[in-house]
Amino acid sequence: MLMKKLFFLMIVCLLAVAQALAQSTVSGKVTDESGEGLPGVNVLIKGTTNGAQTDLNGNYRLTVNSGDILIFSYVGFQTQEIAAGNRTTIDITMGGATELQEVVVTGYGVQIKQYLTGNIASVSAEDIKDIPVSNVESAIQGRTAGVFIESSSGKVGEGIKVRVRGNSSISASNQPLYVVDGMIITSESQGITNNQPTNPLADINFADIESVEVLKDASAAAIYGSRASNGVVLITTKRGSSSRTAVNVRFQTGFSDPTNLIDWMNADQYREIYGEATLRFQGIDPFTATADERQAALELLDTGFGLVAGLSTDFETDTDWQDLAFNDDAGFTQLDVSASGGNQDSQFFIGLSGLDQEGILINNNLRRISGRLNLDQKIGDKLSIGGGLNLVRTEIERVSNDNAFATPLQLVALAPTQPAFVDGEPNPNTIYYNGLIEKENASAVTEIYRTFTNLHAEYQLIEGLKIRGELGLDLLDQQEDTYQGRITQDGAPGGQAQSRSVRVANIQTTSYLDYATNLGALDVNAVLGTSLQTEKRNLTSIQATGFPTDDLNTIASAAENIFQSSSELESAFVSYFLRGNLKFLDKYLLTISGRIDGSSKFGENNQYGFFPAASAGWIISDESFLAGNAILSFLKLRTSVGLTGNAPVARFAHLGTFNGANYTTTAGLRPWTLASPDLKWETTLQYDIGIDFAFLNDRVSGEIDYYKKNTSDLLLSRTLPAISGFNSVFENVGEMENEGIEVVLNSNNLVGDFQWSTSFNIAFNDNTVTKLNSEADIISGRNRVRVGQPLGVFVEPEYAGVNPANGDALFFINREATEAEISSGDVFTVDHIGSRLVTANYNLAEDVVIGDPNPDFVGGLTNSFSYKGIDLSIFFQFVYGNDVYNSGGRFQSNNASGFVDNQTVDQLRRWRQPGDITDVPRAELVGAVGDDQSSRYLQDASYLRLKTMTLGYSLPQNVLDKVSLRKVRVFLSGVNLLTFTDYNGWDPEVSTPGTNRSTTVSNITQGTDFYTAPQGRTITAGLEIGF
Amino acid sequence: MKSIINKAIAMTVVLLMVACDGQLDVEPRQTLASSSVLVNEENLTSVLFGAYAGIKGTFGVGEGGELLGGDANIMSEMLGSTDNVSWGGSFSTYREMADKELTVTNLVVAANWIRGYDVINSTNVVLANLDLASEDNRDAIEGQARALRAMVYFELVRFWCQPWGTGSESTDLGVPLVLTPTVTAADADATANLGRSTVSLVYTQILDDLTIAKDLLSEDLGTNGTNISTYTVSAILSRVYLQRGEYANAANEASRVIESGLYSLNPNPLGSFNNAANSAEEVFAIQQTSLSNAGTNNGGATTFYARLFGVGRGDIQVQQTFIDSFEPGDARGGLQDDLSTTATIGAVNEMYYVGVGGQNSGQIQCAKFGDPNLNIPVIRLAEMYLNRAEANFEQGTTVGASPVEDINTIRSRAGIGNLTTVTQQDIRDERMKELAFEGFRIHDFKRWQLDVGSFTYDANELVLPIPERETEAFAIQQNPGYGQ
Repeated sequence: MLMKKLFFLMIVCLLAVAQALAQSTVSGKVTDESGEGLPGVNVLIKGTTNGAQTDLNGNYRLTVNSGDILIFSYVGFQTQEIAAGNRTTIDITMGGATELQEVVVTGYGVQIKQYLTGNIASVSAEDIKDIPVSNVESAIQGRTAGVFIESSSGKVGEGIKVRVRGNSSISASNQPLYVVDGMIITSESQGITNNQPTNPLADINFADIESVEVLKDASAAAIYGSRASNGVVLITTKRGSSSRTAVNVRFQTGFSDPTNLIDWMNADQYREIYGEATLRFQGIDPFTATADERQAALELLDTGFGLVAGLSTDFETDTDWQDLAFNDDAGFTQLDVSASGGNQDSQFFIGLSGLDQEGILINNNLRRISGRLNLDQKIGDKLSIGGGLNLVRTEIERVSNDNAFATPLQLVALAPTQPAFVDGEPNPNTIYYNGLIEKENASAVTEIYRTFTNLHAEYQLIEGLKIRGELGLDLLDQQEDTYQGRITQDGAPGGQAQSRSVRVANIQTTSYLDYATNLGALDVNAVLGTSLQTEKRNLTSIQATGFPTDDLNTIASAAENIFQSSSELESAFVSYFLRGNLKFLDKYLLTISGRIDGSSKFGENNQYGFFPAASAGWIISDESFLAGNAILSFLKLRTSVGLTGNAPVARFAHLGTFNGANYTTTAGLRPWTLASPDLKWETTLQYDIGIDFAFLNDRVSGEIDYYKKNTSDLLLSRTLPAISGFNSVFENVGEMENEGIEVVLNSNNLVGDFQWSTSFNIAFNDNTVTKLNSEADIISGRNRVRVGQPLGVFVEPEYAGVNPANGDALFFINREATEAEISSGDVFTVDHIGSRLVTANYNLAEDVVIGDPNPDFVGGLTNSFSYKGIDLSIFFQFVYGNDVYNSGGRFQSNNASGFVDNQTVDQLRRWRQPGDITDVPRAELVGAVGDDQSSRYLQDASYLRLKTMTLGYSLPQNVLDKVSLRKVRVFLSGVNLLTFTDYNGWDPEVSTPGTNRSTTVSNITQGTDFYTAPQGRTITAGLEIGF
Repeated sequence: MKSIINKAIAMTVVLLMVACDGQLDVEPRQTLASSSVLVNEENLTSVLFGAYAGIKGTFGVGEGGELLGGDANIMSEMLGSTDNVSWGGSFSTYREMADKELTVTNLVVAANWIRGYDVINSTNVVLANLDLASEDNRDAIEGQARALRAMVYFELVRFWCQPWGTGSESTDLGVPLVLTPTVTAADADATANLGRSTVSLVYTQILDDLTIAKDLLSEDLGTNGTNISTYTVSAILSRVYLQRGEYANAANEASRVIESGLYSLNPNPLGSFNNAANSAEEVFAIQQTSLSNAGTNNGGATTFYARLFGVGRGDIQVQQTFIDSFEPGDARGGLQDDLSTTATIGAVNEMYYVGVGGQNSGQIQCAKFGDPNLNIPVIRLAEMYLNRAEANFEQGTTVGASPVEDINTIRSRAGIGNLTTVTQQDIRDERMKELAFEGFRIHDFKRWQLDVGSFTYDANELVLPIPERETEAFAIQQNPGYGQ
């Protein structure tokens, strides 16, 4: 009450003073571009603290002197200055803010972009709303500098890799921390480790999202302490505003198909190459073989070995297995209905959304229903409360992991000479398991119920000082039910079912004080708070076999349990944080922050960590020597330094433990992990120096940043001699560096009726592992962690080509040869290959670095056009300099020298007779000629993709007025429309997560293709109506 | 009213601000902190059973290395394969063995090496903590731990080292002898300094453990009814002595098992296989249940030997020439070729059958392993007769019975006529037929110093490489022929 009286008193005094001068009253209405009145706009007389705020309808009234200048400012809008003169009425329309004046969400607060000293990239809902994808990461892919986003495959609802300024960990997560409306949410996969990771972010309906901010440098991220090393993604959902209720309806629907197909051999080609391979296996020269011998070879494969039934008799069948792996009805449909509005005291946002994405693979789809209610309520002058409630149901029908015969794309391995169906049923006598059997006889459904709930209360203690309390719950409840029918590979003979349920309850309380004051030329803002987060994860899984019929397939009907497991894992974080922002003369900026994090994940000797950061900015363009410069309208120099951490994934990695190992029905224990009491977070020290600039009245603006991230204390599972009984121990020993440059350019090329704007970003990152715990590489498949190399380099022998004399595959030895090797003829040179020593004996070839899965640079380019009601946006995304290893290559393209897998058409250029110069070795059944893992299966996978294109048309205002609608827009929008690449697999954006996956394996195994589904290309048409 | 609200808010805020340390005390629920394991006899016994679980390998979690649950058998049969059997599967790991073209990156080789030393560490933990055991149970616990350790070292030395009998056993590279438990990371690092022992010293350790275990253990098969007893140890000893060509000891130990009277031959040779509980013939078998077994999908003996409806991959394909080597009427060589496409092992009543039910159908499969949830015999009484016959023959003795009597015992069970005299070849032939596909082949060939196809018994190609993960983790000498 006291404050209110004081305020009233102040107003009276001010009015009294004002009365003494030559005064008049000015009034008017402030509206936005659509003519809607804007409430709460600050109207201030320049150079004074006198001012007013607009009311609910946007009206204001103020006493001014004739020489006064009025400043109209409102968050999110461009500030305007207007001379009062002798006018009594000043109506103004406020336009959207320029890039620099946009409000950016920071952790525990907001900041005007112009005054930021840290590096935060921001994407607004407007930019991504039309994109027909089901998760927010895909939507922002390529749109923010230094944020590399990659889908692991084209399967829907599955994990997506997001790397902010490179990889900073080997064993802990490299994914950023995700914070939705102030709450750290569960974002790691909750699926079984043997299948593709699930993506808990797919539960977020991005029609609800207002903005996405990525905190990249230490200054921005350190406030999130021991979990901030990989950057922090802040997702802010839409809230109501004090205006007339607006209802929006959006409907969008369309179809999908694969971005690319591979050319596989047809039946004739298959017979040709395997006939030849078999003849050579028999010791007959295929080049001089008689027709009878050829037929006999086919018969040997067919009935003799029983490998390819029908090969020697059925010359009619020609099955395109690849075509059968894809879903003809793939598509995307989404319906969003939202309403928002309110008055000065109460605001609301309600969003309802339904999404149905039919994946491009058979048996793969995602359905999501989401409802959100966000409320804000003022109670009196000092107290406001609010909250958000989001209920989501996501159902994903999943397919097997990439390394299973049952996964759709492994169908391509089957012989084209064999029919896909016999008597209408999937052919059971194919060379490998016919994955089409799964379509009708197996199911794998993951059903997720997700609740994001948060409540907050904010109370103004005194002028400038408020206290805020937040309580959040992220509850993820996931049920996976799979059933393999009795005629499927894994289900025979009696059917096999798995029922697995996971519940993750993530509860967080946060409270902080926020103090803002103005001390003359110095603006101060400080935040001090504490947070507690507990996470509890319960899992129960049971697998059983033997069902009375395939239709009765819940576990209760099973004859026998074959696997059972349950677990309960808990972890907790206790945190204290502090941040101070200082702004002197509106141009000298300083931010300091720090967080103390304690966690149950850290060892007893290191339970608490401290993560400080500092940054400074200087708005040079406000200095007298640059002020008013006609060309350069804004220039800011900023720099930051700070420490962030990355907590281990495992909850109890610091403890030495024994694990249950039962022998029949007798309880057993076996040594499991070695203790590591000093275990703590990984530490990243990051420097950033950047400039923000704008030219020509902010028509062209941009940012350039240089950063360096030195990560130490990497948690590594140090390889131990296995003879000790342990494979490894977990320790903080490794070091890694990332260094990079980011450039962002925005330009309004044309303004006026025809508008054209361009937005470009490019980010170079150079990753180097600088220290491991031993000389030994960390190996995961083809990828390795090696000192002096980027994370996950490919290390294998280097393929040299084919020996023209005999069709042998050759490998460079890449080392000095011994005299014995040369005299024995094991090591030699080949004319057309050159002077380097080669060998046909794979074991004699040295493993060398043959490629790097990390891109040299990534980025995106958006061009947006609008003319009258037409809008067009064209967005290209690019990734350059990364390699992909096709681990399936040794089966798909082995010149018919392995088993009897169908081959890519390029294998037809195999060596056939002495003197042939080619890069494909001779065909020889089970001869294993060149099918070893080598650079033969490595390729550059740089690509440029027309990622999204949207063309829309909005009805003009005069037509809308007639039908009493606020907005009508029709649009066409597509994703992954065109891809330009030299990669000859399905799609260059690929990274199979593999099976039996751990976080370490996921981090290291980058850029590996293994029958991995390509991305879907989706084209949709949509309608948006507002009233 | 307002002030009450204000106070309530202030209190709430204060409560939220109090984040306390207690929240950080979270204990694991699925694993036991080491400090609470080695505290009593019950837990010590559990660690011993962890070692039993270890020798069979583990189910599902992808660690591989089924050891006595499958790989020790398959590795031997594939390394020893000539024209009797072929590898028809897509796993290059086993194909490398069949082709005798092993690489240092072979994952099956690595997994079994790792599994072996994992079990050795478990047994070392038990042996170092025997003071937790009561007087009554200490001998039984120690005896079983020593026997398990010896069994694993016996597998390691036979697969990863030159065979006994080269004449240079005292200098031939053995495997590292780790005999103390790894408790800390420093202990683990210290094992790097052990170096490879010699073949002869590894055998000395094996005999040492076994002879002690034999005395410590009784006839008792333990609470499980299937544990290692003093006779199990004798059976293993007979194997070890035979491998070393110490025939007198081999005959005595085999005879001790036979004459214990605890075991008897089943009427049908197939009777020892595909049982949920041990039959009268098994001296030792890996016990399996549907929840504890050596793999159902891509590991374990059944996976590779069986080709039935929904069971197995049929990768190990017996050749007709081998079936032809049996005399007519020999129950150990019957071939069943009329299984329905939905047949499971219950429908199989011959030792061999033509596979059904999926890829690789139509090939000849061995029926000894037809269900992944059923027991895997490791030592059968039949082997004891064959060990005794061979040992007696080689040294011209008749310990327990004459060679011809023992051979006829085996033959009459197989339903074929008695021999009047036996030659060395007869004894060996009988062994190859009786114990086919039970993991004896490569070890017998090496013992008899016979060529395996074009490879001499001591060829480098018939010795597994030290896994690359080891040679890269510490300085351990690679076997000859593998690039070092």
